[in-house]
Amino acid sequence: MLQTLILAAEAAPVEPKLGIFVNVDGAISGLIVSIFLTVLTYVMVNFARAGRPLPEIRKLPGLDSIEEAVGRATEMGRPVLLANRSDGVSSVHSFALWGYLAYVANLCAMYDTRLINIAGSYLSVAVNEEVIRQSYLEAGRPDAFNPEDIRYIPGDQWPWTAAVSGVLQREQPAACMWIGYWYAESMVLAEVAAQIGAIQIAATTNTVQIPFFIASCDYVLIGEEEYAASAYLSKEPVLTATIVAADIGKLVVIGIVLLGVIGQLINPEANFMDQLLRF
Amino acid sequence: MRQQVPSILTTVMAIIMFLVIMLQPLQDMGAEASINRWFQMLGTVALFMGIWNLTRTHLTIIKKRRMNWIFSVWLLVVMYGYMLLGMIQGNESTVYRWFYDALIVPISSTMFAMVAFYIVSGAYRAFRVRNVEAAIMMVCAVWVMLANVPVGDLIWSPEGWLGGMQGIANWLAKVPNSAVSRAISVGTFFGAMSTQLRIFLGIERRHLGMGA
Repeated sequence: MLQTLILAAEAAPVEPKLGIFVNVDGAISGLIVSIFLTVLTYVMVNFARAGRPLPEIRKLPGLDSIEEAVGRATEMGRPVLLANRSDGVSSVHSFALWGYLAYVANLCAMYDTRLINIAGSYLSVAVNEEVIRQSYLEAGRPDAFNPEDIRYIPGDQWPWTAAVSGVLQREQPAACMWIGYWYAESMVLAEVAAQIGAIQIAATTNTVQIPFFIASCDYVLIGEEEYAASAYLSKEPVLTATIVAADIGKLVVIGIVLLGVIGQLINPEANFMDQLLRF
Repeated sequence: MRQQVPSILTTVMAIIMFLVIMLQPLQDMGAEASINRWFQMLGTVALFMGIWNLTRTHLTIIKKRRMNWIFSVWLLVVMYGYMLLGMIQGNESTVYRWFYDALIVPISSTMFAMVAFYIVSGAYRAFRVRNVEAAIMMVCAVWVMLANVPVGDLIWSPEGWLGGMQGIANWLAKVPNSAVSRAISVGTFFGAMSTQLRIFLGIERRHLGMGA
């Protein structure tokens, strides 16, 4: 009898939330956050387009140091290496990467410095090539673009790491940039690059790998700083407006956390913020 | 045209994906599985671009007789040979599996094992006490290391005050470490959301091969 009831319960269709939305924790609250952020970003972008002043975003030394790193490579007559391993074209990390890639390629084209890009995803390598080609074109140096320096190494973790370590030893880049989501290979790559004396800039959102990069790299962009590159480096108010919107969103989250703490202190049994966020 | 069509396609797909994930009727229709199949098919086509890139790069190295060009020959032989083997014998055949299980897996494990040595050299640099932050990091790291080896229990027993070395190490991991990790995660969410909205609203166009 119990078995039959369990099977019947499993087979029963799940009641959608509000009659239409998927019945998973946080579906409605997530929708509200998404709508709130979209509207906020849209408003901030329109503010920027109308020429209204926006709050300043803080300085990011890791991004400011990119020009210094490329300049150092130019002085030493050695290449710049920019790599990402595990992020495919549908990954938000790749979209962040293309901001870095465009900026670094533009600098390399202007300074006549070789840029080596290594991708671990066959999907992103084609986009990387197009982004770099466009940057060389914008810098007025299409002749300096070398497609052979945009390399695809299949992204299986340790073969990729071994291959990139080999490239580091052979090409001796003076500046290395590790952008994207990294796993345990971060330590090996950053240490090999440190051994060849390269200046290193890393950007990742993986909290487990951040300490490894901090130990071995000169500059590390942590968490959301990785995504700020295209807006920060372009200095365009419309793009900066999206970062301002995200910062306002963070302030709202701090407010929600404080409300949750106060709620728990007043009535620990109610778990009202937990219930609200799970809705 | 080159700017608008991909931007419109991106926005339309973003809206479709959002609706598919959020709305129960579309889930019941199996829309998510259909879209995943589209991605798989597109990904398979794009795989040829990766193969082409590898082939082009290494053929150039061979043609120009660059340093270690023989390794490029080896890479192409292995890549196309293994591909042919898989196509002829299937990816479940003993020979095909042997190359993976007996070569790639142990070589990968060897590379992974080397991380321990790199951690030591990285830790040496990180733990040189140059400022207050480095000193705090070094003290915490040494404490956590000692707490995780038997000698830590001998120095300060887990049955002792505050749970001994392990108790404080666990507190470090669960309270300050978790608090910072979660703060970074919240920031990461907003950063990712902001990037996605830039693409959604068509103001981020680097991926389309044009200036933002």
